Amino acid sequence: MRGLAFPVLAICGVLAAAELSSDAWSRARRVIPELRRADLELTAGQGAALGLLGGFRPLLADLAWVRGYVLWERRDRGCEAHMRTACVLDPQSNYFWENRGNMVGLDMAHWEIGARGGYAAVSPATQQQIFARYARKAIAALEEGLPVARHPAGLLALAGYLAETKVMDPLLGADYYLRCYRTPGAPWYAPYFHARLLRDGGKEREAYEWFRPVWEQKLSLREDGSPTELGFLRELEQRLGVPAAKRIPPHRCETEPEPAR
Amino acid sequence: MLTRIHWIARVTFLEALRQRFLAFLLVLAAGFTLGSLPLRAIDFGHGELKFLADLGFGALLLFGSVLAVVLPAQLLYGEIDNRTALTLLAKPVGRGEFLLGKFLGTWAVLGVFTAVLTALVGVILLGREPVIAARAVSMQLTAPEVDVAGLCQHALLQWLRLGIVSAIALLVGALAQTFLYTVVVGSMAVLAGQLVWIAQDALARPEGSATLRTGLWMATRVFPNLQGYNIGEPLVLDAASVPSGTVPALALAALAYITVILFLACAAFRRREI
Repeated sequence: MRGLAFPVLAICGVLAAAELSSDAWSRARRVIPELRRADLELTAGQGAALGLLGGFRPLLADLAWVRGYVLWERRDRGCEAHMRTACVLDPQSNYFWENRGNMVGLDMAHWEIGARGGYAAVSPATQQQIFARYARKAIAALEEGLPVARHPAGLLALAGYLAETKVMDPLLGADYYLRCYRTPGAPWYAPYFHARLLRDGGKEREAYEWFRPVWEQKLSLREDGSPTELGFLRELEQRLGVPAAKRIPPHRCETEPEPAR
Repeated sequence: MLTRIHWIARVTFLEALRQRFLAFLLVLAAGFTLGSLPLRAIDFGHGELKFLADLGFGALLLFGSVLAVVLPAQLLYGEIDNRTALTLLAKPVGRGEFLLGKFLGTWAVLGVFTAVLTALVGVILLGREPVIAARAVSMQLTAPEVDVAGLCQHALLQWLRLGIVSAIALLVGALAQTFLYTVVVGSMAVLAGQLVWIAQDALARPEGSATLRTGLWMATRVFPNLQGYNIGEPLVLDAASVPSGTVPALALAALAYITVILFLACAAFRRREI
């Protein structure tokens, strides 16, 4: 009986300590930057493995970024793996996510076109396909950063820009700008761009009905009264044939002369 | 019994302070912490205080872990190899008391190591804080603040974490026959402790086969999760983001692990041939 007491006591002790540790981890987890196993499998070098051990993550992330930057200057597409490492090691940093998105979404397509013989040798349709392919890749990278970045609004705005200008999908862009608008710290132009892209995507009525209250309740209160956005709404009113009585009443930014500079 | 443990701990503490290895690691860690100031030049995308804090805490974590594995093994095997352990244990001193004394002496040294490095990080952070705050105000940004209470809490957590590591090293030392084996296996156990969060996170998701989940469950029960103690940056720079009760919960878990591991180490040391 005494012989059994020691192992039973030891096992109970280990289980109790593990239970307390699980509880403590569930609390601490909320403030520890996300490191996802799936990401680590795709990262370059040993940086991520080292970073996993805690400490030095910002320094390792910076070094990975510097290495990626050197490759980017040489127009080497291998830079993306290092930039990915930087993002994994310091996932809260907007700088890494946004610059990675810019580099993949804007630069790499130009490199590929250059490698295929330049703009004269590649047809405009193929160029567009290449731009769209890299922009989609960049948007996918930005999506990875959304749950972990400190200021996701910046990532959503960039995704909206890429969707609009490179993927040439206004409704996708509109969706990103809407998500951006609903995120804390969104830039002032997010709702306007959402509405503008809805219009470009053929949803004029939806754009008008959504953007009008936003302008009335928020943008019209700005110092200048947001005349560009009001002009956009006026254009929609005209196109949609909104009756004069139901249109936005004349606003001071239309009636008052522009202050002298 | 407590007097005997106290005396062994005191002698161990004084002996450890004379070790060149301790001085070497302390200088290295302090150099690395101070080196964070010029390294700011290659900082991208982090807040400067975050960068400085992470580097200082990283030095404490890395060099502290090395010290917590090597120091108890060195002191234990020093006593065994020099036969002083035999002389000591011939007197009315229990083996458990001897091991507990060794642990407490080592843990006290680790406390000094933690306090010195934390003070250094604190001086650096508090020295830079007004400069960065003034810059932030001029750019109409929120000025960052260094929470001294958070810094102290982090120091306590790191000391407890190093206590777990030290207890693991003593457990391995009580079972092993050579210093090298103790250091290698102890380091691997610490590495496993740093990575066990992966198993804990995987277990929280309802996927995977029953065998895999059993393996993950076992891993989370055998190895203490050491990654949870790396919350220095939020504690010091964003104390409001840390859920209430996190520090006491981590401290309680660490004390429980230290108790259990030392209990196992004492039991193993009783059966060991010296």
